[in-house]
Amino acid sequence: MTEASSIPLRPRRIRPFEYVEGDSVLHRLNPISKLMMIFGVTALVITFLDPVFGLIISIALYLVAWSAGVSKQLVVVYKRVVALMGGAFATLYFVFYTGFPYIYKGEISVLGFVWAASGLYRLANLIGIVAIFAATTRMIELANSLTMVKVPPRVAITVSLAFASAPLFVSQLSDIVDAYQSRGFKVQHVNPLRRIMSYLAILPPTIFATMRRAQWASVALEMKGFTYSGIRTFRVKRGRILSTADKIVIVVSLALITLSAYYARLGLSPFIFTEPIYRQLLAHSFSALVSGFLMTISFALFNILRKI
Amino acid sequence: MSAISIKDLTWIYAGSKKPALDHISLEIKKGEAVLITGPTGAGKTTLCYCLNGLIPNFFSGYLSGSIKIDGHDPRYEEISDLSRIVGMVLQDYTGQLLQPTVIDDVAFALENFGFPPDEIERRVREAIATVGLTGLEERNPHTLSGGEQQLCAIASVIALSPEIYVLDEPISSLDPLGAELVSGLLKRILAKRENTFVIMEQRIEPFLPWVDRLVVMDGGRIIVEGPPFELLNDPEKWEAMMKAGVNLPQLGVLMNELRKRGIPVERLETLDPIDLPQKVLQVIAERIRNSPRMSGPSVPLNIKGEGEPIIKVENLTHVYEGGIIALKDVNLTVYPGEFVTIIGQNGSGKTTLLKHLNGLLKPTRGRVFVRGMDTSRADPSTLSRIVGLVFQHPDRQLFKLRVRDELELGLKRLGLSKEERAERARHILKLVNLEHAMDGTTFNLSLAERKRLALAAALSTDPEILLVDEPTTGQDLAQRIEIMDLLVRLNRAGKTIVVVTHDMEIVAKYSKRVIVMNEGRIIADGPTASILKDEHTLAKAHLRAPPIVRLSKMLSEMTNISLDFLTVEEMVNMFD
Repeated sequence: MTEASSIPLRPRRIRPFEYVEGDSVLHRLNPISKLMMIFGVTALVITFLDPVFGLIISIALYLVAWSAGVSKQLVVVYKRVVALMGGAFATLYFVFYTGFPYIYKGEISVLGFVWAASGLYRLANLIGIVAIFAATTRMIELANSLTMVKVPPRVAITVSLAFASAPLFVSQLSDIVDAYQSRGFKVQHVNPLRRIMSYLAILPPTIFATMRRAQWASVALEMKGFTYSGIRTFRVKRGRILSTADKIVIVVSLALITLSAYYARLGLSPFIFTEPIYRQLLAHSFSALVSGFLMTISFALFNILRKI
Repeated sequence: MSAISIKDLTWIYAGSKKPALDHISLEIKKGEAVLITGPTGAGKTTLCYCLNGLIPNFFSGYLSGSIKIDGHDPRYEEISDLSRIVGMVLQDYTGQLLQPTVIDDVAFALENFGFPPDEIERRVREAIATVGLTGLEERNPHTLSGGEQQLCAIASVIALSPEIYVLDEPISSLDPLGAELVSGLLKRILAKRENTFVIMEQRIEPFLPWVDRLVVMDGGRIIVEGPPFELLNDPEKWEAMMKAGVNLPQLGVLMNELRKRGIPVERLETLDPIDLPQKVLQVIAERIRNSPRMSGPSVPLNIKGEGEPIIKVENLTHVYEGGIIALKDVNLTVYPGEFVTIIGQNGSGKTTLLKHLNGLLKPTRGRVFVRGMDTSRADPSTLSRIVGLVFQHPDRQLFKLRVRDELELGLKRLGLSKEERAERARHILKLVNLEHAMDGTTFNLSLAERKRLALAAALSTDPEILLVDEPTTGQDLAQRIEIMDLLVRLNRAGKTIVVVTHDMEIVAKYSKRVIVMNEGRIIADGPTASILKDEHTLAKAHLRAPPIVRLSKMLSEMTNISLDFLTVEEMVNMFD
């Protein structure tokens, strides 16, 4: 152990939200332009609710991740995080947007299903863009770049620490889920209500472990001089100046934000692509049957994909 | 001049009535190395917090007496200012690792204190090389093994080069050779006598040969202090340390037992059997030759069980996402009622193997059978009735706020009536010595108690096989014995036990069969005595046999008698 050569190779799993070494265009972008990209995509995701849009954004994100060599990272995030939370998220949307007449009749609402799909896509896309950012950005570069645009160093460090803690949280959650399964309980139930109950069961250790970690992180910050009154330095100045590619990304991101704001002001239907389809379905007396069939298929696909 | 001056210090945590530190007085000179030990709850960690200002600046409570750190009173100093003088490694070192790469984490404090970038770079590289983490600079510290994480935390303190090092259990997660490495590097830093060391540790053996003073605490008080070998050779102080539950060195225990039996032995001056005076070795060898217990052929221990294997692993290979091979062609058979220990360096694949035995992980190649059931076809919920897995961190496996409810969680799955469940819960809690806490709150229990509760929770479904990952890490001597005795009782009651550990004294004392893992492979599998005598294999796995086993091997060569002493008790029994 005294020499590096004696350190054996150890298993290193892909961890969600962890940096992946690379030299792609995305890796070389200034973290600030990547942050702008997050804002741009977030604006799109919040404004354009149609699942068809969601699907287009998902494909675009996958292509971006693939071009940066971090597509595996994105898939792992979808499998471990979105698959864990997405079902419950979509179910809540489904229940809230189904509407009482349908619940009363015991039928399934097409609109509720569209909302559920929309919720699932939005969750996946928001988590996806953050995962791509984390996989292609060294947190120390983020802190450096933020200080270059006059963000106080301690604020910049805090932002980078917040991003850096994401993989820890996911890893901790994964350990807790493992422990829960070892006790003989399933987490990934097909029944959404049982799935929600499982999440509630793993809440106490998650909260306790997170609080404990937060407490010791604050102790460690004090011990490592985070609040020291002197001027802070950086080991390496890794902040990048804005390249042409950065400027393009920033302009595109600003355009997306403006477009989203403009679209929101138009007051159009949230589901411009999907609405004609479900209107047609609603026109038929067996619409509930069709939507039920669609939902069964989607849950089956969801669970098959989760296992893959 | 004193680096640390503590006079009549008392500290009571807010909400507690019992003082955590009770009228402590301690003077530590500049350039001195002091090792502080004692059972859990003795006040060691609390004393650490006093030394870097976490008490009273972070934790609230009542403080009396005086404390001066290099002339500074922590009561009137910011923690961050004191951190320039006092570098501390926390007992829970994982909480200390804040940055996403090893190099950034080691540099973090230097950057906060405004060191010039060139100076930071130089110090960081040196510190990383010193602790042997070169090559892992760009790794996320949280993806390293427990031992390496501890080394990373130590490197970040070394890089700062503080006047005073305060290290709270710095080798708790390290394998034996890793512990020797840390001890050696601290000794090298101490050689210049420019820094002061305060080391709190349960595993005192690696530090005893070179520290200036040993301080033993119990119940918030200092009960014994002095130069280590003075204390080890003083019968009165020895007794006091024994009574306090100090994890005393094996050779010290042996010498003391020999003295008790009227066997003349010299003063103990070493903890390594190879350095024992020839005269002492000859006295022991002579006694062994003449021991009536040596007559008759020794009966080889039958470690293989009978009947159908309860666990069968065939050509198991596991590849994690990202293509990293964690297990390579592992073959293993465990029979009902066996007590098996898996040892090996952290990251050698031990935990990955355990997770295959209860179906949490599925083989990439090969097959795993538990009670004849292929684990790749069964889900963990089905397997949990046969296999119970107890993880290293209890807090990640306790799901209920009340102790009783924690057990009910598993018992409900057995379809028992309310009365039966209550009776069963009481029985299991009695077994793990937690009956008193039945109506208590889970997260108010001590770490040792939470570990036992996690074990109880795994037992609630009455599994035939119990897999236990690092049961003794961070536990004091009494707690280690308590947990291991419990596992032995369960084994005697018919349960098959598989324990993962790098606590070699525990392996020697409790295990019948040892499996050694290295880089995802099983490199040795056999009776404990023969495995522990194989120095070459152990070294490959970063391990070392306990001193008594090494002494036993030396005595075998001297007497030409095959000796398989694994514990001090076994050896001294020869003299009775």
